[in-house]
Amino acid sequence: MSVRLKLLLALTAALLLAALLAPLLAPHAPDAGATAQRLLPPGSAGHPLGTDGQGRDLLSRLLWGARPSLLAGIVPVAAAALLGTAIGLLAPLSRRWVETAALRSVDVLYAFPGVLLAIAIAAALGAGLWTTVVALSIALTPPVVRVVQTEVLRFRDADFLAVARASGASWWAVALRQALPLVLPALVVYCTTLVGIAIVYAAGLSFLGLGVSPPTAEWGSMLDELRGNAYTDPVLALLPATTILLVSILFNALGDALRDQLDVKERSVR
Amino acid sequence: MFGRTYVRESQTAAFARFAAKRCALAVPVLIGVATVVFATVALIPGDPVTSMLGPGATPEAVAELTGRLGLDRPLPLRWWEWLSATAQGDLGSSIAQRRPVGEIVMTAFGNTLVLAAAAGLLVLAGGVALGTLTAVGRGRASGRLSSALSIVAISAPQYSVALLLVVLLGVQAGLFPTGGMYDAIGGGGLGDRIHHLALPALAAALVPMGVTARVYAAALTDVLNADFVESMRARGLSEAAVIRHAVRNALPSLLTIGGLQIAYLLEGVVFVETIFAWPGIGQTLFQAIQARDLPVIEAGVLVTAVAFVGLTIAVDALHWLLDPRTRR
Amino acid sequence: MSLEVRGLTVAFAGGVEAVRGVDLTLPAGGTLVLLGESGSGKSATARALVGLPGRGERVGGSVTLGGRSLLGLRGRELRALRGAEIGLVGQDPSGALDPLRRVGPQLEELLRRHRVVGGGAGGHDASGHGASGHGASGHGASHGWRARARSRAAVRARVVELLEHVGLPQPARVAGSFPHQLSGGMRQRVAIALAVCCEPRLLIADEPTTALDARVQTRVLELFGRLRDELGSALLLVTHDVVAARAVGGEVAVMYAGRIVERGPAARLLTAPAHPYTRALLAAQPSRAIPRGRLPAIPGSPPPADRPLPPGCPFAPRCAAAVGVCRVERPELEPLDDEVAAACLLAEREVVAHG
Repeated sequence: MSVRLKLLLALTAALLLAALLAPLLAPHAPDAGATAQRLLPPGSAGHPLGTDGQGRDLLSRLLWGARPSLLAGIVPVAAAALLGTAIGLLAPLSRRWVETAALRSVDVLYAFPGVLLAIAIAAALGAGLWTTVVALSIALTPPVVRVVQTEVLRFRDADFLAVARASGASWWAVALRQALPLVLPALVVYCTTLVGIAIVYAAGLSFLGLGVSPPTAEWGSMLDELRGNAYTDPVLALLPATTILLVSILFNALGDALRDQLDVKERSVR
Repeated sequence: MFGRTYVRESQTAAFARFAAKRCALAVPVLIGVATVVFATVALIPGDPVTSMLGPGATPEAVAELTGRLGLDRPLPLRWWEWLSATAQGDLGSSIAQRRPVGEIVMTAFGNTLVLAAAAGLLVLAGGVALGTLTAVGRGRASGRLSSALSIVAISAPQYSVALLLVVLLGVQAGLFPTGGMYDAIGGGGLGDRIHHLALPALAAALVPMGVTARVYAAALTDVLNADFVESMRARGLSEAAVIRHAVRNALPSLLTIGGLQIAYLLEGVVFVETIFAWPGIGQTLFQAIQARDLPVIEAGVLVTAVAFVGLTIAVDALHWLLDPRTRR
Repeated sequence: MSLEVRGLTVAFAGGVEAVRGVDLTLPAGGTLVLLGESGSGKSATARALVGLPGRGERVGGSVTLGGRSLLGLRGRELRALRGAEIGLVGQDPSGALDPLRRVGPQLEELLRRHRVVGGGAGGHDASGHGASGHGASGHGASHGWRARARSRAAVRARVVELLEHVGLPQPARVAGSFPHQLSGGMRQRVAIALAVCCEPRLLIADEPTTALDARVQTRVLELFGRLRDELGSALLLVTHDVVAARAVGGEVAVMYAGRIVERGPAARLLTAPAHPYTRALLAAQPSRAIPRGRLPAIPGSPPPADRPLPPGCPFAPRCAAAVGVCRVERPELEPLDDEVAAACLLAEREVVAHG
């Protein structure tokens, strides 16, 4: 394992731990604000990262905000990975018409740019954290199917799969025991990068008012709230924007390091 | 001696066949897309009638408007009518703005295309430059740096970048306008437009630029390591000629990924347009969602998805033309 | 125009050698087969001759073609030599061609590059094949476009002729095809056309038939022989295949662990070899006498090229005839008579005993 990969894994673990321990680490309650302490600059006494327009401590809000933001980044990817793998793995191995039907439906979903699909679904279901999770789960499934499908197609005609099938193993057994291990490296790499993308999408939905609604601390809605102060307090406005950027870079770099580690070829899916 | 030449099979008929087949395949996808859009919008909570008439409307007025909009009829019927009307180019009229939806959406889409074209140029130029540096400098510091840069670009959320650019270059440095397409007074010239385009185009371009750079770098590395490149050197071709062949061979991958990424620009514009007040399809969609303006949402999502499908077809066609191996 | 190789070495970055001092002589119009297992250094030798060593390899010794030193040539000079005076045919025919260009233009590019026909005064006379170089020069300036068209037509005619010459049916159609539309054997013929289009004085074929099926192999080898005779160029065939070596004939040099272990005329060497390694190679070839499935392979494997050789004869650990002295003393290539030379202590003794 490369030093780079170890470092990135440690950083990811630290990030997840910080979100988990937010109640212990945060110096203030995330939604306790005092109007007298509005828009304090970073470095103020008791508020290391300053306060927002309602006098709420930004460090505490960023820590608490990590919980819904990471949740909305990780849960949809897990769901999309399960669903996408199931479709991508079983479709090429199953009957012709099942494959056609499944892949055509994915084609239709694939025709929507991801954010647009998520926006449409989130708008339909109404704002909220779980809405975001559902919308992203659906929006992220088609690309996962593509990844799995490309990998499976590389191996579909391999002799050992034919042998397994000829020996009377069930579709399920062939898919899980033979095909899944072949697909796994590419899937792990892609899903790691996908977490970064999902975090960005989730915060984006909140930013548009379709995700977690105020006053709950969440990176996207914090960005939206502080956007209005960009002209007067640019540093504060950039805090959530930079946080999302850094976390996104973290997951993409982790995916890249995993790609090198697992020797997965660079492909264009997204 | 004159006129003696090679025997080549005509490719025109083959291309026509390919194009026809590809377009035919797109029809069910488009119908599916339209159905998904319709179904999603039909589920949108919040009653458009009450939001139009306000909370104090009489039940009679509500019933009258519901009937006039056809919202009281069964869903499958509304779906079929909407689909056939849409296929004929009739997108209905906006509930909130009381204007034909086609007019609203097409104007907005035109503005988005301007933004997407500018960003597309940045995507291709930046993607090729970064990708070439990564491939040629592989194993050296320059390669690692450009590889890291493209990861940062991939990770950069459009809204974060947009805000960063607004604050740093717009507000702090005052170098660029922070919103709109041109100055209200004395604006509208080419220079003014480019000035207004710069920041939103850059914000929209970063992610696809990073993806393009990485995929192009991988393709170029493959080609540079290919046997035929060494064979050409062994035949004494000049290094410039060898590179020309290599780049030509990486071109299909570049156009495939570049084309798809330009299509994905369409998804980033929702954020970029909202932050930069660019009157495009993204901003229109955002406003329509907040106003529960069903026909505009339907048409906006539909137009974007159709453009997306069209671009994929164009990319496939280009790939067919550039890589003879795909012509089977 | 003979090829003289003296003390050729190919060394890796660590100083370990893949080719450990090789001497070769190949007269104009002659044939030399470099025979050996994979890892014997035969391909490294061939690549070193055209100035294309592998990554991180350094080449030493001296190589001259017609009295002109090849090692140390750089840039323009080296490129002018490659293709024009030395033609190289590789193992994998699909790796010889740009997959995205039609066959014809690829040949045209090379002909123009080395100015055989078209685009200026031809350096070589293409006599013997009908189409002589119709250069643009000599025509009036007012007829420039016409001269160019004439030149283009001449180049194309030459391309079709070349493809016909390497035995491709429907050469005009092949010229208008993409590489993937051709079979492996056809692609290899195109690769040969590319290698001989400038009538090189030295034709190097590195395992040219390995990727082809058996029936096509023989024909391609015949083609090499024919081209050598017609062009009067020297042919260096690198192969692991005794059958291919027999088919081409001429001189044979057997390589093992980066050195030549036996050298002599094919007729003698491939029937009554003196070196135990050559004997083992011959025994490992499939023949009608040996039933299929009972192919005797040489036990063990050649010493790795990335480590220094242990003392003694490099083949001793795998040699059935090895005696004590073989593990101590390294044999040099010594002439056994006026035709054959071998690097084997036992072979020398035999000659001494019988002579």
